[in-house]
Order: sequence, then structure tokens, then C-alpha cells
Amino acid sequence: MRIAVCIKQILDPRAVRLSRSREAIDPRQAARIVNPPDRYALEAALRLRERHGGEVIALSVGARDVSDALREALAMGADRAILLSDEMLAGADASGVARALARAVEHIGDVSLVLTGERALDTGGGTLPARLAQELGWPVVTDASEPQLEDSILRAFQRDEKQRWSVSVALPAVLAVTRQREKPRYPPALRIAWAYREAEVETWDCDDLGLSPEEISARHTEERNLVMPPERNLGFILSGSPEEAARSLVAELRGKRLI
Amino acid sequence: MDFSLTEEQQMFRDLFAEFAAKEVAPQAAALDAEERPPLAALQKAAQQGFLGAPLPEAYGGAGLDMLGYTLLLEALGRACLSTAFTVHTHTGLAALTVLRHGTEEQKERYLPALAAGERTGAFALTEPEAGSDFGNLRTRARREGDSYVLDGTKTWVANGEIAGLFVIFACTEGGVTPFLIEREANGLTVGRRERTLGLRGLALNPLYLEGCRVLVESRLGAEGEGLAIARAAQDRGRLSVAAMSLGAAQATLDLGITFALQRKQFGVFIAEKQAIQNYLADSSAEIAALRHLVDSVAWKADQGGDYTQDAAIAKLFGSQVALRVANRMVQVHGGAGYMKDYPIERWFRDARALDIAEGPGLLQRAVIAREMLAEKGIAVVA
Amino acid sequence: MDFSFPPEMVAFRRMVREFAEEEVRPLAATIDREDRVPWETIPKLRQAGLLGVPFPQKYGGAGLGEMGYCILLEEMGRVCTSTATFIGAHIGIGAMAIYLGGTEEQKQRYLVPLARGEKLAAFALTEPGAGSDAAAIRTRAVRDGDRYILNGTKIYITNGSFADIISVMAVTDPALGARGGVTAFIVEKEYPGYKVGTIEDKMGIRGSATAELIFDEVEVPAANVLGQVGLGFVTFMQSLDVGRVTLGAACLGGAETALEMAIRYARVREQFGRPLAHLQSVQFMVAEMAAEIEALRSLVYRTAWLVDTKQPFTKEAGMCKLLGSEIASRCVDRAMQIHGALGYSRDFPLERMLRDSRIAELFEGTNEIQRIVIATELFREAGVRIRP
Repeated sequence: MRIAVCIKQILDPRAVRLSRSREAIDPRQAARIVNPPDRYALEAALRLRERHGGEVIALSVGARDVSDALREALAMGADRAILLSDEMLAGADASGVARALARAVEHIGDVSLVLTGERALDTGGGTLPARLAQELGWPVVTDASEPQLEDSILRAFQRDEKQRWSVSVALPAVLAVTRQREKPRYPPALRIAWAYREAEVETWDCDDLGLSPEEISARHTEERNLVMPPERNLGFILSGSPEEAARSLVAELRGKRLI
Repeated sequence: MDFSLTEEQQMFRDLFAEFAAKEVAPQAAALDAEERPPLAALQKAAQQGFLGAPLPEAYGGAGLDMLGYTLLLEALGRACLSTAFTVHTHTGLAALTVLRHGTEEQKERYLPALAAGERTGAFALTEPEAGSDFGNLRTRARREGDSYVLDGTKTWVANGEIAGLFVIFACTEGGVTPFLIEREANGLTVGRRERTLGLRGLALNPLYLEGCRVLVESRLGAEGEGLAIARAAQDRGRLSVAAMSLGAAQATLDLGITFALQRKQFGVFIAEKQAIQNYLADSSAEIAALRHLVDSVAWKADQGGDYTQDAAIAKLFGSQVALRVANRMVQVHGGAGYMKDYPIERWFRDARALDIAEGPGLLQRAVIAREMLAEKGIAVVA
Repeated sequence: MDFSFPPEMVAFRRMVREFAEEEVRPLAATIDREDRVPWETIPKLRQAGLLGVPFPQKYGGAGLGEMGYCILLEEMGRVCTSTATFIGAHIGIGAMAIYLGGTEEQKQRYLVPLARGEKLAAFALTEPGAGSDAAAIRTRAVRDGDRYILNGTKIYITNGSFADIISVMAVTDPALGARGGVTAFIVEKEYPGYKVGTIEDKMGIRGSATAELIFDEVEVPAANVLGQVGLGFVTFMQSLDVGRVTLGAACLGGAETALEMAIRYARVREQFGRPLAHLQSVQFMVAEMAAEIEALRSLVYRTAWLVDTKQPFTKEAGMCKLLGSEIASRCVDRAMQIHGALGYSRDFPLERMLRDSRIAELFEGTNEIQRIVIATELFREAGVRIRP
């Protein structure tokens, strides 16, 4: 079976700085990483391939440097990596990106499952999986984990605070994978060497996909407001047995006239 | 200028050295491994009259001067730094503070007990927000009629869990003020022991004061005298650390020499290798200089003048010498210097505290520079 | 001259850093306190292919050379010296000896499982009477038909208590001594007569197992001679040289962490009404740390380049170890000065870093030996043969 995994390259949210004076993100220190939920999607795809055979193809939309994220996907174990890169795609919003990805999936051919992370941790709308499914005309299961395959039926699990239940869907389908307890594998050092030295990342543009500018440029989302998060004070850590920690906490709170 | 010790001082020196070798040094490894304070040695020191030695005879002491006291601390420091700090906190910080600043009642009430080892003394100044910056205290002592009520937290209190008497510094309306508080007081709790790199035989605990009520008679000195009292204690403390450093440096040098004379590599004792000789020579020179420095500062203290700057210099120099010598001697031991089979690794860990305790090196430099420039008429902020 | 790391090295560092932060750092304090090896980390290292990083892919390694290996140890050194020590002994001297001196058959038989992490390695040279004076070893290997019988004791062997494959140095000809009389052997822990003795109680790197190894009539097949008979020192010294570069990298990691901690604390801790960062003394300490770290980084990676391009590097390797260990110790010490009493407390990682960093000046050849190595090379280049 052919599984396509859509990944996004983002700035590392843990390293991004906020410039309060300019009310903007300061990307200087932040590294570019694969969107963490997409790594869970990739891991799920690799496990399905290990159980049922087939091919895992990583897809991403972006400028040339995004091929770095795709190489990481190759290092993790993907068989092929395809970059959708075109000036026209630069300004596209989620609907445009979804359309491009859907077209690529069709272009690859014979894809029976598309996996992606439930949302991107940078812009985080979380609408891509649904839009993608809409474009493809396939069903979508969101917030899914532990996908399992039996014949052509895909079963995945969803949960809330209290319970966990399974959802079954016939292939082909789109699955938005959520974070799970078991972390995605580390790309083996051996594959890193291969992925960055020898492997090829295929690059397709809008012509290759048969996409016209009008199909991409229509904007369906609008950014209304940007709000800075509130400032946080540094805390302190208490240690010792629960009785001692409680005592020192009370002494601290009293000392600070909070109780 | 006579650089020799008087007969009496020589006698004390030999007495202290014998005590340290017999009662203190053999316990050092166990105290470190088991992380417990030297209670037995403390009692024996009390029986010998050492704990109260600097006090006047009227209070159970021997009238030992500062020079004599540094001989005691050097001997203890040469045997076991944890024990040395335990005794110094009890005698030099707690007992001598009561002696210098207490009322007659306070002195009669506590000094004989401290000298006899019936109560162990501790000195609580440091707080979470006030380390080097000890003027920035948050512990409050509120006057209520014939008593004060104390609230606050003290940290890194040496002898905390074994002390029967605490000298506790708090802010009153009139300024920083110390109080003499007994262990049994209500509202005083000793917290969990700090776990440390070295000095594992020294008890270090936080103190929690919650509505701790003490009579006015517990106040030491007048309201607002606290900073001056603390500074006087710090001067003694700095000189004491210098003396302990001297002992520790000598102890580690001795270990290095012994090892170098036993260990053969390349067909000769490593003592015959120039690199090793250089370590021994540098250490020996530094120790000699430190010894003279400690003696001269102790003499100056005994003359009665201001010796703050000299004490800071002695502490800065002394702690650094001890660290350097211990570090070199670990190197002399090679791989063996890293193994707990040999005592040198414990000295290395213990010596590291000498720069930090009672004001880190950075603070000493600030004090020295400030005093120097003040003499020239320039006032610097810390 | 291109001073940037190639893209695969950048990606590799990113992966190793994440691994180190997620899998290694959380255990660092625990294994020190419990005085045990981080067993749970070993399978994870294996799955990530991190136990054979420098070796060519045909031997089961990742093919990332000395540069990749330095990156690995730098990142591990940032979070846990014990784990870095375990890896360094396994890859850098244990397996490395087989890579540098082994026959093709020995490499397939032993190096491949070691590179894959299926088996673990150690390197046994030191003895009670032979530390700095490695030539004074007494473990004896006597030829008997198609085998050698080994008798002797090794001490202070990292990974010794659990290593599957041990590269051992023994005397085959006492008359010749170091020049022609010492041979390297590959020993498997299952060989009868091989025993693990005392496990040392140490000041630091307590998560690293340091053991005594006892050889009591151990029979080693002649096929397990590593390198040539009598020329054991050649193989071992080469191995040690390579190991020294990466020890420098591990020290670099430790120093970097000390600097980060110092800056973070100086920003936050206020005394006398303002953060410590405003004190010139603190500023100067931090500046000196940063300058030393920069210098060390350049030295280590340039030396790694020398190794990977097969140029001479003995002198530079000694420098990496000498400077790396002393810089790491100085940086950790300065960080401790800046942290005051907090740095002395076992509830905070700095005192562990102090204890852990101290070993670097002592093992893998004391710094006195490194100075001798460097001086020997310098004078040899000048035409003089010096005696240590």
C-alpha cells in the first residue's frame, strides 16, 4: 500500500522569541524543525508499512530549504520525499495548500492513506486534514491514534478525558494523527548520513501538478488580530518530604504576605 | 618582631594537634560517608575545654586569644573540615557573639552551657534572598509588649539540627537585630538537611520561624545593632576560614607527598619527576605564605583594631590556596585521586566549600577593594 | 576553507541533541545518586544507531567519521558525563582498537556487532603498577599451540563490569618490553577464567562502571591477536589518540552547559538590588568561559577534520584532551562561584558536574602525560628525541 504523509517545516516553538517591543516573533534563534505532530504521523505510517508492506511517501509544501524537513523524513524511514515548491504557493493559505497537496496525492497515484499531524504548531488552525479530505473526496478521521489496518478497513482510536473509542473507515482515507505516549523513533544515524548525502528529494511545481494560479490564490482565511501572551513570573521549586515542602511553602507564602 | 609562638601557644598547638589526630581525624571518612555531624568529637572537645577556650575563665573558658583560636581551627581543619566548621560555628560565631554583645544575664545563662557542650550553638543570618547581600533580610521581629514575634526563613544554618541555641538575625522597627532563641521555642522549626558536595559531616538546615514568640530579654544588643554584630562575626569567621584552610591545605599536601613517595612509575617514585615536584613546591610556598598571613591577622585582631580588610584578604587567599593545593594533590594521585579508597577526593570536595562559605571569593574581593578605596576617600557600592 | 558543518552533520547534531535531552538528561542525576549504569538508555542508543557512529557503514556503523563522533560526544557531554564516558569507552577505544588494528575477519566478527550496539566493548590497558607508565604492564600472554594463555589483572576499566568484548594488552615477550614484547588481544567475556573483580566507588561519573578485570588462565585463540604480535602498543596508542579528540568534545559539551547555567543564574539572581549579571567580576568570568569554549570548539573540530582526512593528529589530540579537560574544570568551577551556596547543594546539578569533570584531567592519560606527548612531538619535529 502507498501511504502519503504530509509534513510541515516550522520554526521550533520552544526556541522562538517574542519581541514585545515590536509585537512580533523574533525567529533569529529558532531552528527549523519538522512539525512535531507530523512526526507522529510519520511514525504511524512507518509502523503500518512494517506490518503490511508498501511505501511511505513524505510530502511538503514550501521553499527550497524545506527539503531539510523532507530529508529528516527520509532519515526516519520514508521511501520517497516530494517537495511542492512554487512561487505561487508562497502566499497560499490553508485551502491553497490543501489543494496543492491533494493534487500531488492524485499525481502520485495509488495512494490509499494520507496521514498528517493534527495541526501545525506554528499557525495551528488545524483545518488542513479536513480540507485535504474535502479536496480528495475522502473521509477524514481527526485526533486519531494507533491506526490499524484490516483488509481495506482502517481503524483508529480517539479519546477524551474519560474514555477511548475506535472509529473505522474504509480506505482511501485521511487521518489526522494526534500525539501519543510512545514517541516517534529517532532517525538512525546511518540513515541520516544517507538522507543528507545521497538521497534525492523530488521537486514538483504547479505546472507538474497541473495547478492554475486561481486555484491556489483564493484566500479563505483572514488574520484579524495578533495578541501577545501575558508575561510570566519565574517560580521556585520546593524539595523535601511532603510535610517539609508544605511547611516551607506556607512559610514562603506567609513571608510574601500572600496568606 | 618575634615570629615564634610563645611557650603557652606551642603547648596549645601540640594539645590541639594531638586531639585532632586522636579524636577527629579517624572519624572523618565515616562522617562523610554517613553524612552525620561529629557529635562524639564535639563532646570530647567540650570535655577538654576546647569549645569554650576563647571565653573568659569566669564562663568556663580559658581566655584563649585569636591566635590561639586559629591554632585550634588549623588543627581541626587539618583533621576534618566538617568537624572544624561545626566547632567554629559553635564557638567562633555563636559563643563569641554572645560574649561580645550579650548582657550579663545572657552570658551567664548561655556561655557556660556552650562551653560545656550542653548546648550547641548556631548562627542564622543567611536567607534565600540574602546571601552575600545579608543586609537585605526579610525575617521580621515584631514587638508586642514584653516580647517579639518572629516570622521568616533562614537557610544554610550550620549546626541547625544539632543546635540548642540559635543566634537569629531579624528586622525590627529599629533595624537588623539578633535574637538568642533556644531550640525548644514555639514557632521555631528546623527543616530538612541540605545535601551537599562536601562537608557532609556538617549539618546545614533551613530554619522556619512562624509566630515564634520570645521575650525581650532574648534580644542581643539594641535594636539596629545587628549589622555591626554580624560584621564583627564575619570578621572572626573570615579569619577562622583562613585558619581552617591552612589546616586543610597542609593535610592535602601531606597526602600528596606520601603518595608521591610510594607510587612508582617509569621505574622511579613519582616524587622524582619534576612535574610532581613543581606541584609540591608551589603548594608548600603558598601554605607558608598563608601561615604567616593567618598569624599576622590573628595578632592584629588580638590588638583590638579594625581588621575587616585583613580578614577578607586572609579568607580570599586562604580558601584559594586550599582549593589549589587540594586540586594539585588530586592530580598527584592520578586515577587513584578519583577513587573513594583514598581520602584525597573527600578533601577536594570539602575544600571547595572554603571559597563559598562565609562569603564567596567574589564578595571578599569586593570588601577588600572597597576598604582600600575608602582609605583613599572613594566610596564604592558593593 | 569552509567552517560550516555539512548538512548531514547539522541534522545529526539536531537528532542527537533531542535524544540527549529526552532520553539522557532525565536520568543524569538518578544514575549518579543510585551509583548505577543507565541500562535503560542502551537499547535506545542502539535503535538510534548511535553506538557505531564513526565506523563505515560496511561495518555496521553510521559512516559519520570522527566529526560525527565528536558531535555525538559533545551533545552527550552537555547532559551527562557518565553516559558520554560509557559511549566513549565503547566506541572510541574499545571498538576503535578493532577498527584500527583488526583483520577483515575480526572486523566482521567483532566490530559489526559492536557498531550495531548488539554487543558492548571495553579497553583494558591499566594495571595497579601501570598507569601513566603503560609500558610497565605485567599481564602475561603465553603462546600454547593455537592459543594464548592470559594471566593478570587490569584495573580502572570503564564498562569493565559488563563489556562483552574486551581489547586487552598483555606481555608476550618480557625481554622486549614495550618495543616488540606487548600484544593486543580480543577477549570475549564468556572465556573461562575471565572474571570481573571490584567495581570502584568513585568521586564522580558514578553512572559509569569502572571495574577490575581478572584473567586467570584465560585461553584466547591465536586468531584473536589484534594487530601484529609484539606490536600491541601501536594499535593501542592509535586508539587512545582518537579517543582523546572525542574526550575533548565531551569536555566541550560540559563547559557549554556550565556557561549556559552561569548566564541563566546571573540573569535571575539578585543581590544588592540588582542581578549578578551587572557585576563586572561575573561578566568577566562569563566572558573568559565563552572565549575558552570557542577556542576549544575550533581545536576539537579541526582535529576531527585531521583524523577524517587521514593527516597526523597525535599532537593535536593531546591538546584536545589537555585543554578540554582543564577548560571544562575551569568553566564548571567558575559557574560554581557564580552560583554561590546553591552550586554546592546536591539538589542542584552543578556539584555533580564538578565531580564528573574532575576525571577528565586524570584518565585516558593524565594531563601530565598529555604534556609529555605534546612535547615529545614538538621536539621530534625539531629533531630531538626526548625521554619522559
